[in-house]
Amino acid sequence: MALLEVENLSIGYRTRKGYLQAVEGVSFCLEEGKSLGFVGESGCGKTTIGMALMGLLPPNGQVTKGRILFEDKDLLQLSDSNMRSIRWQKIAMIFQAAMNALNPVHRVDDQVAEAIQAHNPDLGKTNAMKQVEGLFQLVGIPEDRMRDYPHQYSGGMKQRAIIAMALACRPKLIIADEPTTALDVIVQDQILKETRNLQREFNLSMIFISHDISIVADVCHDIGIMYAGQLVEYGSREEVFRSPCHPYTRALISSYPTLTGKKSQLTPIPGETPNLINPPAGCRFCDRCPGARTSCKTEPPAWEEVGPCHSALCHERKL
Amino acid sequence: MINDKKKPILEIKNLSKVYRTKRSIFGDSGNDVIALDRISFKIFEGEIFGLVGESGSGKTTAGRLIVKLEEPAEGKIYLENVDLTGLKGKGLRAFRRKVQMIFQDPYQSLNPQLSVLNTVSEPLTVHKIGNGKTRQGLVRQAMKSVGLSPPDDYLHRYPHQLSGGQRQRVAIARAMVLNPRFVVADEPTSMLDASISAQIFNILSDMREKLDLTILFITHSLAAARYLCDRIAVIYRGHLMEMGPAEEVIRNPKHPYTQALIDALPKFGDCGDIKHYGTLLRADSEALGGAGCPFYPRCRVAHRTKCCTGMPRLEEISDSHLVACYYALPGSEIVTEGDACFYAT
Repeated sequence: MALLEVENLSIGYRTRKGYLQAVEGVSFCLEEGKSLGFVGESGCGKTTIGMALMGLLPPNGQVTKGRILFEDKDLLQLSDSNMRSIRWQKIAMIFQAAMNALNPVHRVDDQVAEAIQAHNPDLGKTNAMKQVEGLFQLVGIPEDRMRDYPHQYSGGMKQRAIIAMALACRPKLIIADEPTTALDVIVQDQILKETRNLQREFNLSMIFISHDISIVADVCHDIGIMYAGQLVEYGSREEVFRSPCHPYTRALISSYPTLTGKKSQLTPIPGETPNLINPPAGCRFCDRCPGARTSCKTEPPAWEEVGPCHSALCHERKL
Repeated sequence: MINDKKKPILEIKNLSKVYRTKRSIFGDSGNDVIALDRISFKIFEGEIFGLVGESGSGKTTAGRLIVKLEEPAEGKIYLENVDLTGLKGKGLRAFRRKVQMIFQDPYQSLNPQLSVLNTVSEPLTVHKIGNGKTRQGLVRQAMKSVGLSPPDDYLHRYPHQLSGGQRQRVAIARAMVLNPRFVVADEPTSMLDASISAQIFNILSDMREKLDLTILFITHSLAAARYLCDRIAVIYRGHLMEMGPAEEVIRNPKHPYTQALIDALPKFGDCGDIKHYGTLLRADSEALGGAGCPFYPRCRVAHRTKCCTGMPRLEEISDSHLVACYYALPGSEIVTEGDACFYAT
């Protein structure tokens, strides 16, 4: 049984310029112990999905349609206090820009202990500290650095501390929003390896959110490609990379520099993402799509099965 | 491809830079951080030279020294055979026209109170080039060359009205409007989406083609360096570890650190013949106080006394491929292991 099932989720923001449909009709499911990655450009709605799962949408944001089933409970129907018991205890999040997520005037171990105590008020300070010690060991922070302040940490260590905090209440699902964006390659590689090990060890489910297709390819079992608020391709990592179906997925892959292949093959995606306040009627990618036909402009595409666990939102497949 | 007939535009000799940390009031002398330790290289006219390393490796420091934002502790920098050390007055002005920098973060490098027109024309004002009308012409031209066209759509916008990719293009236009000979691009795409990066790479390589520009491209990703650069230098804790033609360094990396950088890149799709080397020890490194190789504490290959007592010299092992490692010399090469690709069969 799936741990998390999201059905037809739509999220909108009220803005001064009008109503912005940030996420539209997104469905996916996640098994226990598996990881799922969302890839897309900035503004495609991937972070919004993460925030909705945590129940942390800003006041002007609202889920307009759909269901989020977590362990068979619809999170959208829960009261605030019930949601609070799930948030961080069952679903934790590693926020974007972890560099700034730590409080600069408190020692790192105190901050993690505070998170533990907030959810287990009965736990004494010493017990909480003991847990922190274990957590830091788990993520590879040396013991003598525990009582440091955040500014004494390097970027990679701050990231580790944030991961320790997310693990603090032994959640079942961790949402990692651009967990390695500000880090350089070697640290990034170490953090990704670390997360993979932790995931295996605790049978965690993870959702990775990133604009970097290579990171998601590295750690996730399943991949969802997002464009302009919609999921446009969804499938297992192997399927999606071996035979990318949606023109946007192909464009993303070919715009990414790799160590092999011909140098001249790097092709940026022309044009810009559509305005989501007035989204186009047909396929949202058609203005930038090399294979767009006239019907793409007017008819919204429908989901097509491409393989056993691989589908895409594109007219092309109907041919 | 390096051409020996090409003359070097920039030459760096034994460049060092030391940052002093704060001294305490009790007379504690504080620690000196050696950002660059006697590095030397040449950049040839018309090439894109990549400087690759982690954060803290000194790559940005090298860039800042070259554009004279900071002064070296030791060593010389020559641009077109002119020593930059004592440059003042007219000479310095001429130098500033010839050399420009593109900064890492377009969210911070643009003045939020200046419109695009004012941002891009500011260098012209500073260098007293043209008058109001001709300046606008030059600005338009620079903006077209970075793909901000038609320029009229952008001229009167402010940075907050632009996307990250557009901002970085404005920053590039600002650097290009003086028609410089040499540009230092310091991680110009690290703050941008992967899909936007390709646009920036293409703009830089177009510029090189059309304007006969020389570029020092600073990055932490070997994949980006491979795509853009003719030659690559790998830097670690202020030391040059490996230098050579881009394709050669990536296909045939000799230094364990270069191999670690290749290992660390996430790989997907067709990995071709890229190998997994497994040369990095997990332990986080502390800089060695002694004379040894700076990579020694993290290096799996080196476990002998040689590596911790003497820093190996940068030596040529094959045609213009230089490596600073005792184990890179023919006969003592490192055995590579495994395949890099996750679904290789």
